[in-house]
Amino acid sequence: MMPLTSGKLNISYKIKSISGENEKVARRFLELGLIKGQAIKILNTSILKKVFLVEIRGYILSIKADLLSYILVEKM
Amino acid sequence: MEEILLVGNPNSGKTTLYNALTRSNEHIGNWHGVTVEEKKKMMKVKDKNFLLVDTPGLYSLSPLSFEEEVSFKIIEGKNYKKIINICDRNNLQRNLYLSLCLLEENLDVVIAINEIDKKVKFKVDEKKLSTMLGCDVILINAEKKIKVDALKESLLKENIIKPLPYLEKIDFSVVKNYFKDKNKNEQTIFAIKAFERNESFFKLKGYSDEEIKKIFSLVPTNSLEILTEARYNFLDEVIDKSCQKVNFTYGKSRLDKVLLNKYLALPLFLLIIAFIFFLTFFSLGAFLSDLLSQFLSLISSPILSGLKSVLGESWVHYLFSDAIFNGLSTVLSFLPQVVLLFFFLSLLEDSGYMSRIAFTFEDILGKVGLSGKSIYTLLMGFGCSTTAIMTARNMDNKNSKIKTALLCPYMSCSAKIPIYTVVGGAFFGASNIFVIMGLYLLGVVVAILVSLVLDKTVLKSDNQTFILEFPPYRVTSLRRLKNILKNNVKTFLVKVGSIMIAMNIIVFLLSSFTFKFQFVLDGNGSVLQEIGKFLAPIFEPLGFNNWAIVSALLAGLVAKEVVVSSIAMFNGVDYNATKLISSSILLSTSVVYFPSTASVLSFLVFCLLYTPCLASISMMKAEIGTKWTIVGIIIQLVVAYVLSFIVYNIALSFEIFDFCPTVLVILAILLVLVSIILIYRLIKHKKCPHNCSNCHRNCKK
Ligand SMILES: Nc1nc2c(ncn2[C@@H]2O[C@H](COP(=O)(O)OP(=O)(O)O)[C@@H](O)[C@H]2O)c(=O)[nH]1
Ligand SMILES: [Mg+2]
Repeated sequence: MMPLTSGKLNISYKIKSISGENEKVARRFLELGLIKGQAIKILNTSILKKVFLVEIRGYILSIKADLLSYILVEKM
Repeated sequence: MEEILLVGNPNSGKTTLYNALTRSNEHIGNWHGVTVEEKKKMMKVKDKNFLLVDTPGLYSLSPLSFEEEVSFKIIEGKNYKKIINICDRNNLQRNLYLSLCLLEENLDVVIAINEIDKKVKFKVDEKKLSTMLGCDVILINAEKKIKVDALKESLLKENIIKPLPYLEKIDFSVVKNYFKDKNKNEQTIFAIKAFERNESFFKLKGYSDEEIKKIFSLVPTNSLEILTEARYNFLDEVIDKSCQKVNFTYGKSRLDKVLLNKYLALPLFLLIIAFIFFLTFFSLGAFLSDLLSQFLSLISSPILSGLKSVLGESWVHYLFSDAIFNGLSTVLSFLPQVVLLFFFLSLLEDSGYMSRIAFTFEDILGKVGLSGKSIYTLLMGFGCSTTAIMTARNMDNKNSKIKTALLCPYMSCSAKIPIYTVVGGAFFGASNIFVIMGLYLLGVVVAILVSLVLDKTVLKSDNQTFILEFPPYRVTSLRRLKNILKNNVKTFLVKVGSIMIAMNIIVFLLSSFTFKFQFVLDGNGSVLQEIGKFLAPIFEPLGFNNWAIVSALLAGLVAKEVVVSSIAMFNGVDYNATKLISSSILLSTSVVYFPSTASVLSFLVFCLLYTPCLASISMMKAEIGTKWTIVGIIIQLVVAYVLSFIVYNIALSFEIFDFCPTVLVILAILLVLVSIILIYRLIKHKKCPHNCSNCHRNCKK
């Protein structure tokens, strides 16, 4: 298991868990469909790698890196 | 009148449908959070009248942001006949998540699936969807108004409410028991809300924090996970049965390989912006401006001479000819440039490119305390600060919004161009273009510095939750193009143009009447001149202590486009806004006013940086409040004064050696160097000790 922030570009990962440290963020992740077992992929990052583009359920989200580190994933 | 709500995820086409149903022209943009407050307008269905309400986008009924709170309260207020839940077909599953939340509350919903892009072969079976969800489902196209009438008709029907199957599998008994004095229906709804740990809901229903804590203790700790998983599992099934699945990712495009590339993004962006500026300010825009002024002078002379014969040489005549007519013609001479710039930028916004820029530069702009979206507003500022400040409203973060609005005036607006071309042209001749470029650059650098200072002091950026949907590229239809153009012309003419003309009248009155209400023709003894004379000594250190220049600057406080004409007037030159190029006349007379080229430079810098026109100040007040507007004005005056002083003294010391153009070049190079160093220092960041490629230094390896 590792935080998604240390994942590589364009590789599918499986969501293992979402840390509940920040309840609001965890809630929004769930509502947007980032639930356990779901595949997730990093598509791109902003210049300073503070914002990530991730693909989930056939659409793209842009997420700040510090929030993304709440998502723990493992290789498919 | 009964209300109908338009509810849906951000960027799903709510405002487009709203405009289609009510024939309005609200702002539409291809990104998140364009509509931030509710909008209402009448809509006719058969012979019944309804009030259609456009709400800000939301993802679920547990609001996180301010806009979501607005929509949430309207929805829970239950003060409406029906909800139109608009869903983007290309991202149907995620959009239907919100629909489930609405249906769980037994709200009367009709689902309108917006077929934004015909090309995607993603067939949706309306009937199947309708039976599975238990509400009307209609496939529409908001922009082309396809099946909008069917949607309207469905508004008159009553929904048969059907329980959602997945809810039966969740054990709500404990928490239902807590609400046993409510009816069956409400028990279920309240139990769901407890599972959602939806504080906003219970607060709205008047529960105290204590009670809410008690309620939340009755549900399993992972209740939200249980509920969302059940919803998504159900949606998986729904999509599976009612839609023909195609494997594609909404918003993904091969173009992004280039446009979002780390090394190419910035150069490409600069290239595109340079091209747009070239079109707006040089080729196309200048051509249209010329055409318009020729047309204006053609029609103005007979009208003005007619007026003269009726009114004689009275002040009323001059009011019409000098203030109103000249005002009108200046407004119109800016129109092509401002509208073209806004048009191109709206196009970039609508195509989805702006969101990419906002994404790519989010963190760099974040370093100077702005957000990615600021770039749009700031670019608009090169056209007209007033209209640009209006667009700052779309910012999701309050502090960035204030900062963006405060920085907007540093983007040299097109009303200042005549000052640079006429005054600068008179003194610098062919090398004036470098002066102008230097001024634009100076504006941007000052904006960055001011933003940095604000960010470190009073307006710290609050680290907001930042999870946004990434919009797709869209090809703007001809219909949209026409609308964008119409909208831009209208906003500029109505909102800005009217204020500009009013301001012209004020300047005219101030410069034509003495304190004793006597009419003077050449500005001698006028109120403006008197104040100018009084204030002139203040500008001594900046190299232009002449009352005429100071009076012109004062007039410029009201509206920037009158600065040049005021200088001309105090010079006794019959200045006509349609003859912006005739700087030679000015040259001959205004040499008196500017003792040295250093003082001209200082004057131009002051014009660039000092307080914007009254129109944008009033807009600022409306958007960010009185307090910040006053702070902004003070900052602008101080910065303008200090920088003009510096520029004047540097230029003066070089002038002794007769080096003026060299000064400019050196200054420009210095500025570029400083900005490069600044940007480099911002970008440089420490490497992760574990050497992983994407980590954010806080990886827990
Ligand atoms: N081609 C096309 N584009 C649409 C349609 N509906 C919305 N859009 C685009 O989708 C984007 C978001 O629209 P908007 O109405 O602002 O969505 P809102 O955020 O839900 O109010 C804009 O770029 C629109 O041009 C449609 O029916 N066809
Ligand atoms: Mg909208």
